[in-house]
Amino acid sequence: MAATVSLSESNGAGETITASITNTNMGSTDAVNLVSASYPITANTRSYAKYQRLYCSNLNGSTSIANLKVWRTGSLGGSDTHVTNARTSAYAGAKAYATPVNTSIATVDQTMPTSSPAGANLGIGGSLTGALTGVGYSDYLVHQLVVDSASTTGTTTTLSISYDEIG
Amino acid sequence: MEYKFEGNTIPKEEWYWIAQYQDGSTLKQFDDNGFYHQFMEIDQSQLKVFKMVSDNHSNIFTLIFTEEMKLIHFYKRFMLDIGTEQYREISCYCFGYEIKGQKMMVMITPSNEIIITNNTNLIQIE
Repeated sequence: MAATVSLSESNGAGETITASITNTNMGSTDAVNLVSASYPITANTRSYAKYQRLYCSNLNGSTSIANLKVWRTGSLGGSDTHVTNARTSAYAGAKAYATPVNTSIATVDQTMPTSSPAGANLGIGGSLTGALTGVGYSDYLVHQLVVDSASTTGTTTTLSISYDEIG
Repeated sequence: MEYKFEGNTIPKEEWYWIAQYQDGSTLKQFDDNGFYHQFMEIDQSQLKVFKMVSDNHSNIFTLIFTEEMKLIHFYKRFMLDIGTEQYREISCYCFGYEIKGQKMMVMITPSNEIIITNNTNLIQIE
């Protein structure tokens, strides 16, 4: 049986963790499951960063989870960019949680891939070759939209994740 | 039939393995006595044949094992389009072997397409 895995998000000072989030919408506030239309991102600013982790609550007989990959599909408005700490090389280790901000964040500067990368780009225990062998979290996926002056409304991009599970 | 592992009920996978040993005995991932077995329980030193079978599909994938092989088996799980109406969870079943650092892998996709590769990381599922 598949391990029970979901995406969690952390928000606020001191980190309020929400398990099994229902969306990963980004906007001009630090809130989980937000409605983007209610929190539009002004041109030449950034969204508030998302701090999200894969959470394994039960391996259900499997022995480990590894090889985490994160990517986006769809389009961004204008020449907006989507930046992240996820990367397949020169991974900077587990990013520590910090109160989400709408300004640039050190090491959150890699362009989010637009297809499944050729190797893990999000670590476990600070390493791209790390594994979850019980209940636990991945490293934080920190990501942020950078909205430029030529941005257009109405575009949608979605997040996808894959991992290997050893039965 | 229910299958148990450490007291928990484990639902059957779409595709599951059967290990056949040189002495004719077998180890089934979901055995006839209602127990679930982990891949690490397979005694590769005595393995003769590794099969992937399904209750819903008639085809069987058979790997004839030799002693220089290192058996590989895992699931590739996908969480696609998270937070949208198109959200879906997909499992692909990967098995194969490694000899002297060279891998030969088979992936069974949800549509039962068979992909053969030496690197399952190259496979894109949409």
